[in-house]
Amino acid sequence: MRSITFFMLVMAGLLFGGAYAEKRHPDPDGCFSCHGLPDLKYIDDQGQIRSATILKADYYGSLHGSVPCKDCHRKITDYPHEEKDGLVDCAESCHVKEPSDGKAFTHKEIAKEFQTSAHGKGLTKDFAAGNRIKEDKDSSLPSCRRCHVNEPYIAESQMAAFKEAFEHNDAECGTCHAGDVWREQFSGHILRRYIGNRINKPTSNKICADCHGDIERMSKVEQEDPVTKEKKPVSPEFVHSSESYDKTLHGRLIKDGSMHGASCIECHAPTGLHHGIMRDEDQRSSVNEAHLADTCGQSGCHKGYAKVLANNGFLTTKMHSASTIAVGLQAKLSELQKTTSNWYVGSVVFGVLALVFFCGSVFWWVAGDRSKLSKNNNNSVLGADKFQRIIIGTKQNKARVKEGRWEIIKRNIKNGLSRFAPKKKESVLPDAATSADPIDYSEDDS
Amino acid sequence: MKILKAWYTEWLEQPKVQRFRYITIFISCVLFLGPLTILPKLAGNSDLCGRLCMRRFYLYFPGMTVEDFATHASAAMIGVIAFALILLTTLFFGRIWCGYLCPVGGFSELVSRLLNDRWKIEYRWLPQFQIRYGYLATYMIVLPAIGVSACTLCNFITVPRLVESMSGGAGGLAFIFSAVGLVNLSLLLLLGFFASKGRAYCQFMCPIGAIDGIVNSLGSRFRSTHRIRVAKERCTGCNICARNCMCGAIKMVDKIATVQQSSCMDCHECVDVCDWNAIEWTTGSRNKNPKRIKKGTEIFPEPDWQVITFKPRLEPTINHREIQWGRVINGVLVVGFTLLVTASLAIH
Repeated sequence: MRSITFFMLVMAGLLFGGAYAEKRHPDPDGCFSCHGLPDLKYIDDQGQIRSATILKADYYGSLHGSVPCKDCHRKITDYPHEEKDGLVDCAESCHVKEPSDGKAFTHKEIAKEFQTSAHGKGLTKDFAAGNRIKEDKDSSLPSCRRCHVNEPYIAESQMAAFKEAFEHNDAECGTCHAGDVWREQFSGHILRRYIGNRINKPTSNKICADCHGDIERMSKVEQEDPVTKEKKPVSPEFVHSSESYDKTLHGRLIKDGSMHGASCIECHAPTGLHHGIMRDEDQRSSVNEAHLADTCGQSGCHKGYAKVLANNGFLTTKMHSASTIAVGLQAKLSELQKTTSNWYVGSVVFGVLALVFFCGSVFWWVAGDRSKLSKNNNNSVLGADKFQRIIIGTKQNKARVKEGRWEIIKRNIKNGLSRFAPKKKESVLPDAATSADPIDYSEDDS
Repeated sequence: MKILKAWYTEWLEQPKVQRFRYITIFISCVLFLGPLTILPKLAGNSDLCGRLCMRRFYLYFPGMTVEDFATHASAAMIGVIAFALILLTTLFFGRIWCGYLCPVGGFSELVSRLLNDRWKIEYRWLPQFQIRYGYLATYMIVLPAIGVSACTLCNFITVPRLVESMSGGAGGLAFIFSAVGLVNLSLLLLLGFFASKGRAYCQFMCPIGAIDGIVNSLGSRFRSTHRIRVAKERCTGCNICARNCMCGAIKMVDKIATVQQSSCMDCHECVDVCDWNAIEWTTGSRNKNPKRIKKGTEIFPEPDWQVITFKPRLEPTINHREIQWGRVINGVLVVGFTLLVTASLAIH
């Protein structure tokens, strides 16, 4: 962050240096005469030292860089001022004019949409530097500023492209859009939107995952029943939503740097100003059963077939299924991993395999069918007879077919166990009928 | 120690082509699978899913348009290119990917070959052709429509994740014990490690293998790829080829080996093990000179039938000195791949 700040400082110096910066970033109320001072500090009501210094370069580089302070901090008329006079309402209009209709620009519509959403009780006004921590502690819902940090609008990686485009501004756009007003007010604005475009899929997902990926925090969330107003704990699907998303192809593609995956917003707030995220039970929600076909069937997504009735299964697939991540087991395993080594936990898998091999070995030792043991035979435990019959084409042994599977096993066990029986000592004299070697060599020794 | 010695002697007994094949598969496993995953990482992936997926883009959803197909294909562009490359090489040079390079099928084959036969389940007697293409149709049309993710039964996801989970990480381990993970693990064990010759998954469930098989038999029809040919006059019915064929492509019919070309993986093993020169791996039509003489043996005096029928063969024919261009190109491709991989390893 520090490096970005430094970079912005340098870049801002290069780009908007000197008198030009004065024009583009007016400070008509003279706020920077105090807040521009380094080490401007005060003690808040909790006795904490807080910095009131605004870094010029940081502010000018930000999205609101060309909006004068008083457009948002309206109630401040003179200084020194009370902290509560500085409270910001994000839905207020500011003096930047919309070029199409000449009206003052406002976030009112977005705030309205946001207030109908599942996050609707989050703050949209009364923001001040001092109540940041308090807000964080009191409310689990996101406010405007929790997601939209007023950070440098153009990412470091895109700065070079932006700079180049800005320098070519006059030559390329100036042929039609002549005049200083255009160049100073809108070209930078358009270029920033065009090149900056900071909120891409991975970043917008990250904003969601900052809260929804925090499992501890999500498990404390309580949802209000829309009818009875009763508060209930949330489902495991909700708690692990970010994790299960990462397992889906949507999440994977974005994580791997491909833009083909669907981001959180693209399914949960595809229309309007992308702030109307609602619970799936809500009839108006884009992920409600009634609207799912439209949401999945957006152009560029599963357009042609999501709405076809034959693909009903496509829409009933659970995207945030908790079963893909084995929640309870994962917790137990990670608990185990804290106290033991990975190999110990990994041996669970090896152990099962070892058990299979051990039991199989014991079984083979006792009851293995050694009659078929030959290189020219198929020794597989299952399907060997079928292989011999169908692929090799040997005739079936009718005696063995009659015997039955269980009887074969019994016979094998009997044969196997007979090897462990103590050999009879009385058979000193070789029996001509059974012995393979009827000649007695002992006489030759003398 | 005993096992190692047994493995070593078995290794020496293997035909040359097979040893070469095992080595390429091993290298491919190192490159594609965890913990190294060198080739997938070049595309920014840690396994063979996502952009590298070669199995998903041709799924058919009822009502799908060309535009949808283009979306699917562009989402998995690297996979599409790889798939096209596999099919192209198959059409001209045979199934190099399936038999010599595929890390997933190859991995289970190697593990299976290390195990004693008595651990294994025999699948090769099943009606392969029907099951394979029946499942391919189900996979491409029925599964998408009923909403079962095709990834559920994909072992391109399982093998890398299995290897990954062994190197620690509760997430990977938990995947193995989740419902999807258990299904895939049992597929890998039952159709891979514990299957006779370890290629049951390839033969019955792999969509790439199924399409590749069609392309291979198509190629052999155009005489561009090698076809296994059995000289009926020479086949003694010893069935060593059928027992050794890892794909179950050879079946004894009336004590003579018959080959199903679409199941063949061009592993060349049947040619190597046949003691009677009865099997040829050729692009042309088969040699019609009958000969029943065991390799490496000389019979003296020559029996009458052999003098009569074998005499023309004693003169050196041009056949023996012909350069087998198919084999040369195959070798160049495999060696080229190996070099590419070594280079990428060095860069990595």
